[in-house]
Amino acid sequence: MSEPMPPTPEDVESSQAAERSANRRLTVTEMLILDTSVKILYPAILVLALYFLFAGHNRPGGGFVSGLMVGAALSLRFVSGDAEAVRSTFRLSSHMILGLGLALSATVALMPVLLGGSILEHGELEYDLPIFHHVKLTSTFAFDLGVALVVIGLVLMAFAAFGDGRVGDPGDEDDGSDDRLPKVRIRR
Amino acid sequence: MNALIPLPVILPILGAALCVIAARSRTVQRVLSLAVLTTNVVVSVILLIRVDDDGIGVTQAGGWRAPLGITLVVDRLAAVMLVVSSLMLLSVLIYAIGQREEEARFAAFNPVYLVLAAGVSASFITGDLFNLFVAFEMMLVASYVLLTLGGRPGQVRSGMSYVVISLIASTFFITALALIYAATGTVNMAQLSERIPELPSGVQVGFSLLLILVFGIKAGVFPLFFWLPDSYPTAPGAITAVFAGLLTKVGVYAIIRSQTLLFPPDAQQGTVLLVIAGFTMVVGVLGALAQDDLRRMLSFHIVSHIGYMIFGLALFTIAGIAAAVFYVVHHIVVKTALFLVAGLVEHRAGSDRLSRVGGLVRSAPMIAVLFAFPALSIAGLPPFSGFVGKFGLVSAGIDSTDWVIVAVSLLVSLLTMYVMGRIWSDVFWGEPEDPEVVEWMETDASRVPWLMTSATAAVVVMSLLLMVFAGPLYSYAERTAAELLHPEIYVESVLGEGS
Amino acid sequence: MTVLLAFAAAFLFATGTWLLLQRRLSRILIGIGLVGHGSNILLLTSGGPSGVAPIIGSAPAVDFSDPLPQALALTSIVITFGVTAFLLALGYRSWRITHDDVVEDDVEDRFIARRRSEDHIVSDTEDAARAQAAEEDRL
Repeated sequence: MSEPMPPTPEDVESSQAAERSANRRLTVTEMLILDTSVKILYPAILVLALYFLFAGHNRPGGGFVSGLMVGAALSLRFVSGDAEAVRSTFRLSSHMILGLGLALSATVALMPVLLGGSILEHGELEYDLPIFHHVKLTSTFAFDLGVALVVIGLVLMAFAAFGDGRVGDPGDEDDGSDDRLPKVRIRR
Repeated sequence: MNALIPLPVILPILGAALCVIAARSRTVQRVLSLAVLTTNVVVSVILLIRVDDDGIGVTQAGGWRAPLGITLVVDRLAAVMLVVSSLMLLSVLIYAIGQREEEARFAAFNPVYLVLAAGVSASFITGDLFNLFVAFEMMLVASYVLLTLGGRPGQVRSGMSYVVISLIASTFFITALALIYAATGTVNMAQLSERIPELPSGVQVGFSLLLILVFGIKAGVFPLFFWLPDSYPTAPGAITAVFAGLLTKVGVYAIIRSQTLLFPPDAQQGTVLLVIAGFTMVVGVLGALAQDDLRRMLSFHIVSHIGYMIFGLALFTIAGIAAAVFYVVHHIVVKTALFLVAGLVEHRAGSDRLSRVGGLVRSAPMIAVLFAFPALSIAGLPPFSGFVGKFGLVSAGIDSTDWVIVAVSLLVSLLTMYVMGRIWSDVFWGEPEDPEVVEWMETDASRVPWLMTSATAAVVVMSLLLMVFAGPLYSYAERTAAELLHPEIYVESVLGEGS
Repeated sequence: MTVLLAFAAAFLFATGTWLLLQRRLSRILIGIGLVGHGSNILLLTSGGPSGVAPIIGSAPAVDFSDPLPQALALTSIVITFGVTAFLLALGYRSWRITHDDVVEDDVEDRFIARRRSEDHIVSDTEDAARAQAAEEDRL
C-alpha cells in the first residue's frame, strides 16, 4: 500500500461526490443514528481493544482478539464513512503496520535463542509502581502487540483492496487489469 | 546445535516481515531474501552434519517439555530434506530475479516466497502433528498467492480448483487430527508413536488410511493427483519449478514420516501403498505422453515419479526406504532443473508447446545441454543419479519379491525415456513449426538473461553432484532408513529417557 | 451437549459436502465454510465432556475442560478464515473476468481430447479447436 498521499482537490471532490451518492441511498435520520453511534462506539471499542491487549496474559483476550477489535472499529468507520476514512486512520501505511508487527513478533520469538534459551521463551519484569501497584510486564506482551499489529495491517489491506473497488497494490506495476504478460506469449 | 533448529523457520518469517516493510525497494527485498535463504542453506548443512554425527536434535519451543509444548525435531530425514529444499529455494529465487517478471512486478513476491520457505522448513522439522497442519497451511497459503500472482484468467481458474482441493485436504486433516486426539489424547508425534499401538487394530488402520488420504492429496498420488497437472503449469515460470520440486515432496515426506513413526508394522499400509504406487506411476506417465504443453507434460511426469517414492516406502525395508529417500532427493533436484529449463525454453522460443517449437539444439545449444543432463537422469540412464535411485528401488523390490511392482516400475521407466525423447525430438531437433516462434526468436527479447541460465546451470550441476557423490549419499540414505524403521530412537530423543 | 455437537458436526459435513459438489462457485465457497466449521466442531468435541474454563485457580483442576482442543480449534478457525477470505477474493476476481460464477473446465484437457479424437489437426486449426473447446465450456 502506498503512503497516504496529501489529498488533491480532485480527490476531495470525488470523495465528496461519493459521499453524496452514498447519502442519497440512505435517509438523513439513518445516517444520523449511524454516525452518532459510531462516534460514541469507535473510541470505546479502541479502549476495549487496548484492555484486551493488556489483559491477554492472565485473562481472556490477547493480541489477536485486540487486533480484531480494532478491525471491527475500523469497519464501523467504513460503514459510516468510506474507504478513504479507514485508510487515513493511521499515519503508517497498512503494509508497514503489518511488516512491523510481524517483525516484532518474530524478533521476540528469536531473541531467547540468541540469549541461549529456546525459541519463544519469555522473560518478565516486575515492578511495584506508586499508582499501578504491582505491574508485571513480560516479553510475550511484545509478541502479542506484534500479532495485534499484523491483524490491524491485514484489515487495513483488505479495506484498501476491496473497500471501493480499487484493486491492486501500489508498488506493483500490475494494475490488476486483464492484460497479458508484456512478453509475447504465443497462444498460451 | 539445538539453538539452530528453529532458524530455518523463524529467519524466513523475519525476512518476510522486513521485505513487507521494504515493499518500495526491490533491491532491499532481494538482498534480504537472498541473505535469508543463503543463511538457511548454511544452517541446514550444519544441521545435517551434526545430526549425522550426534543423532537426532530436539528443541522445545518456550522451554515447555515435550508432550506439552511445541517440539521441533531434526533427524536425518528432516535434515537432508532441509538441505535440498533450501538449496532449491535459493536457486529458484535467483532464477526468478533473473527472469524479471513476477518478481520484478509484484512487491508481494519476495515476502510470500519467504513465507513459503518457512512453511516448507516447518513441515520438515515439526515434531507435532498439529503443527504439521499449521506448517502445511503456511506453505499452501503462500503457494495460493504465488500461483495466482497476476490474476490472469487461466491462473484464476486453475488457482480456484487448487485452493478448493487443498482446503478439502486440510479439512480432512483437521478431522483426522480431531479423531486422533480423541482416541489418544495427544498430538505430539513421539507420544502418538507410543499410544497408537495401544488402540484397537481397526482404529489404527483407519487412522493410517486417513492420513494417507490427507497427505496423498498433497503429494499427488493416484487417484488424488488430478489437480496437479491442471494447476502447476499456470503458475509463473519460476514458481512452477519450486512447486514441482518441493510441494509434492513435502506430501511424500509427510507420508514417510507418518507411516514409519506413528504406526506399528501391522497398521502400516504396505499393500495399499504398493497398489497406489503402481497406478500412480502408470497413470502419470501415460498422462504425460498425451500432452502438448511442455510444462504440463512435466507436471504429469511428477505424478509418475511420486509413484516411485511411494513404492520404496511401501516395501518397509531398509533397502526400500533408503532408495525412496535417495529418490526423493534426486527427484527434487532434477525436477526443479527440468522446470527451470522449460522456463528457459519458453523464454527463448516464446512458447512451450511441443507442436510449435523446434530446432533449439542449434539456436540455443546451452539450453539443450542443460535439458539433456536432467532428462537423462530422470529417465534412469546410467551413470546418472536417477539410475542409482531406480536401481536401488528395483533391487529392493526384488529382495521383497514384489514382482508386479518391479515390472511396472521398469515399464514406466521405459515410457519415461520415451517422454523425454519426445520432448528432445520435438523441442530441440527439427525446425520450429510455427512462423511466430521463428519471428520471436529473431528479436532481442528472446535472449535469455544470464542470471536465469546460471541459476539453471547451478541446479543441473547439483544434479550431477548427486551422481558423483551417490555413494556417500546412498549410505546416508541407508542410515536414514535404519533410523526411520526404529521409531523408538526418535521417541526417546523427544520424550527423554523417563518416558 | 457432546451429542448435540456431534449432530451439528454431522449436519455441517453433510450440507457442506452437498454444496461442494455444485458447479457454482458461491455454493462451493459456502460448502467449504460449512465443512470447515464441521471439522472445527469435531476438533472441539475431541477434548471430551465440557467443563469450566481452564484458568488456574478459578476451579479445581478436575472440573476443567481440556484446553488443548480449544487452542487447536482456534488456530484452525483462524486458518480457515484466512483461506476463505483469499478464496472470496479469488472468486471476486474470477467473477470480474468471466462475469459468471461457474467453475470453468480445463480448456487444455478438452483441447487434447479433441485433438486425439479428430486424429490429426493441422497446426492452423489448433487455435480454432482450442477456441471451440473454450466456447463449449462457457455454455
